[in-house]
Amino acid sequence: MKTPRRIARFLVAAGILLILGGCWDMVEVSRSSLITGVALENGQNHAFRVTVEVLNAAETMSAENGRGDAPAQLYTAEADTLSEAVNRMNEQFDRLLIGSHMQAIVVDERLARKGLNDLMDFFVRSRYIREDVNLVISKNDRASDILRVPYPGGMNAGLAIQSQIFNLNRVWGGAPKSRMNDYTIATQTPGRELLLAAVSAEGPVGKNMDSVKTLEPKSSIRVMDTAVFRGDKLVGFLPASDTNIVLLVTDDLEQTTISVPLREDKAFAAVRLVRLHASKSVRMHSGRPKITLNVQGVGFIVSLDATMPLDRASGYQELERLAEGYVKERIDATVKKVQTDFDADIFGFGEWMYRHRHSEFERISKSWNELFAEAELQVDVDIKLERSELKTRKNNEIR
Amino acid sequence: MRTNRFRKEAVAQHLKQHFGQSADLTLVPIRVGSRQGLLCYLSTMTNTTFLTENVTMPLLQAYRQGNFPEDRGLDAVRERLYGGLATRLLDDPQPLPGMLTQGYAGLLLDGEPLMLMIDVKELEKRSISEPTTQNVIKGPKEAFTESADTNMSLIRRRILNERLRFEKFVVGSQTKTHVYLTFLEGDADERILRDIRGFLQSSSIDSLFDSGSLEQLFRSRGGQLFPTVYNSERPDSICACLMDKRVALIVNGSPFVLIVPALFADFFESPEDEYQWFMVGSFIRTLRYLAFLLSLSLSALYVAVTCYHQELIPTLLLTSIAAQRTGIPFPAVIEMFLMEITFELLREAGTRMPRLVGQSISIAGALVLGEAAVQAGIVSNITVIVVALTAIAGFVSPVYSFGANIRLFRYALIILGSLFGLYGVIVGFAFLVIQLTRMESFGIPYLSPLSRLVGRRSS
Repeated sequence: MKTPRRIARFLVAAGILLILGGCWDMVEVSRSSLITGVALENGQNHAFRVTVEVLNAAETMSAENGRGDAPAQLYTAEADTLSEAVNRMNEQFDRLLIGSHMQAIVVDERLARKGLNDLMDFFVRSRYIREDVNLVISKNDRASDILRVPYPGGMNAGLAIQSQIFNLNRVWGGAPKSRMNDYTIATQTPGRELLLAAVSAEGPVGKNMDSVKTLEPKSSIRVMDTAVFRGDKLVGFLPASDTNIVLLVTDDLEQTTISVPLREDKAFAAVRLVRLHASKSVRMHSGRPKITLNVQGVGFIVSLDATMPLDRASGYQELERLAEGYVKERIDATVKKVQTDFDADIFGFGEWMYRHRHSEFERISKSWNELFAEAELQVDVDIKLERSELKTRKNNEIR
Repeated sequence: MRTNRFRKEAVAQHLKQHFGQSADLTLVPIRVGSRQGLLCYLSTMTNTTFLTENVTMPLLQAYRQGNFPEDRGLDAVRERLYGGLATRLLDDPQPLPGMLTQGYAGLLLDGEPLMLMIDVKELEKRSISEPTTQNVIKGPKEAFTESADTNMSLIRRRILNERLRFEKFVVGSQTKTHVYLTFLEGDADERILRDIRGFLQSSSIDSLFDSGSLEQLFRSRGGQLFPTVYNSERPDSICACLMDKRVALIVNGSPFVLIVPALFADFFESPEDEYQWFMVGSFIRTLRYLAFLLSLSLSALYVAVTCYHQELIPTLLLTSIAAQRTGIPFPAVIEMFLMEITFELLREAGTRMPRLVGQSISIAGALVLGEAAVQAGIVSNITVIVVALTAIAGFVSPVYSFGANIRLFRYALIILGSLFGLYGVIVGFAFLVIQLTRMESFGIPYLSPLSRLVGRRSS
């Protein structure tokens, strides 16, 4: 009979396939641990000092039967390459480390001044590192101290940094998105420099979880300023209060709130700006770039210190004028500051030229940052105030 | 004279030769006037009361009242006395035993050249009840029974159309089971009908007790992984299929009526879908496809992803899985098989148990095995969730046998997933899809409504 022979042949083939295939690359999740954060610093004996934050799964928020141990632990190793340092981590740790769930890479300020390219090469190449991992710079503090800030509820520093930066970016535009992908894009785009969030640890960082057992946490992570790069090297920090204006110019701002000074002394109108759109154009005019920036947006009046007739068009027109003037002023000031302090086109004006006036830009691309520093800026702001939340008048204006 | 053929003693002898000492063979000598006669029947296939009232009584009454057509033979008897009954005249004793087994009673009068066969078949049968395996909330609540006559009646009373045909076949060399080929003349594909007729006539099986055996016979012709025959115990479902130009097979003794050809999409359709708003019907149908995919692949994907592709799992879910799996002694695949086998045991025990003790099975299953196994740290919660979800999804198919089929593929996929990760699962899926696309049900591509709009023979 033909069929039994065929079945036997199939079984033998399948058996060989299964046995030889085996489970050679199987990873047992209960015998491995996730890396949630990495901190990179200058090493003492070697080029790098790598600190990894390793999740203690049994203590995380999703596990019910924790014993109150720390939700994550830090391990440090030094080596001349990052890969070596990470792969030798098992010299001091018992489990297999899984790097694919890394949420944040914290780079020390001093290391970042020497350049990011050599550092990031390992992460960019690896197929296991996600493109949306957050890349932040530790300002003033050692990078590993950022990971030493404890969190309540089984949270760990890596996840916390990611969530903090995401929310700050979305609600106020206080930090650039700072993902590894942004680093890749910025370094590969001519005429645009990299912007990353800078964080520092406030208060004494602890060696245990005591900080979160009190009402006021002793230490916390603060998103300080925004790190400005030229090429892959850190050149300085832009104050956090200017970050939303930078993001407004680069058209990356979702929404923000500005405090518009009114005519009266110390009186402000808070305006929430949404649906913002910035369009730019750059042309060379007698050897100097001439930048035209057109910002459009919609605003809501959130609070108002003075008495203005918001039940009439004139009140809105007045406020619109003030808000437009204020935004224009802020943009002018911020661009000026970047021009004088950094010589780095973090706004992407050069990128616009690269895209729209390519041949013209090719000739000056090498010296673009210097040209940018001398650029002339003309800003048009158009803000439509749509409504003033729920109330037209303040409580004390209603009889 | 030919009368010798039906001599009383000879016939009795003939029958005893065939039926031996069988207790239900009844030979009643009767006397009609001066003539000796014999009434023979199988007591198990007839109803004695019916026989007495409708056969014996009219005979005797007629004789007593003097209008017994003594001189004009059995033909007149048949016309005068048994006008309402199905009768036949037999001129050869050879088919007699066969007719008795079909519920005929034989009446013989000495001196007659023929023998009168009267159809007095009346069997105890279950009354029509609600379907047990294919329930609906809205829609007809009748189900087929074991009696083919009842089943045919259930179909006929729904399709009041003179083109409806029931063709009778006898299948099973020993059991002589009646199989009725049901179709709408003119609608059903003649090629399919010819194919089935040929198959039924040439089938060489000994016995046929349920349509399931016939289903497997059809299936083994092509060596196919998925069922190519649809079965239903719901008359409305079968009638819908008949209107859809298909062919039904009613097997006497089975409450499940078969439908051929059956395609992949048919196993996701319930007649109920058409009795409600089309949005709801479509939603539920989509849900069934989703359930099919879940039931097929979820456990394999879980094993593959947790063992090989941790980077695919959201961080919080992965920490949750890792936390739950801490201290579990077995690898994920062993754990999965433990739970799957446990579930299969529970299901098998649950279906075979007497209904009174069935309760204890669910308690033992739910409490002891589920809760305790997790608390004892033998399996993790997430595995229990995955197994329970695949199990529930497996029951969603309106045709039970289809859902039951998926199980085997699921195990194969789990093994592939545990050895090769997602690659293995994808290869397994590719194999299934290839099988599905090359399958045909009576010449119609199995995936036809999905793969192309017009179902046409591929070769």
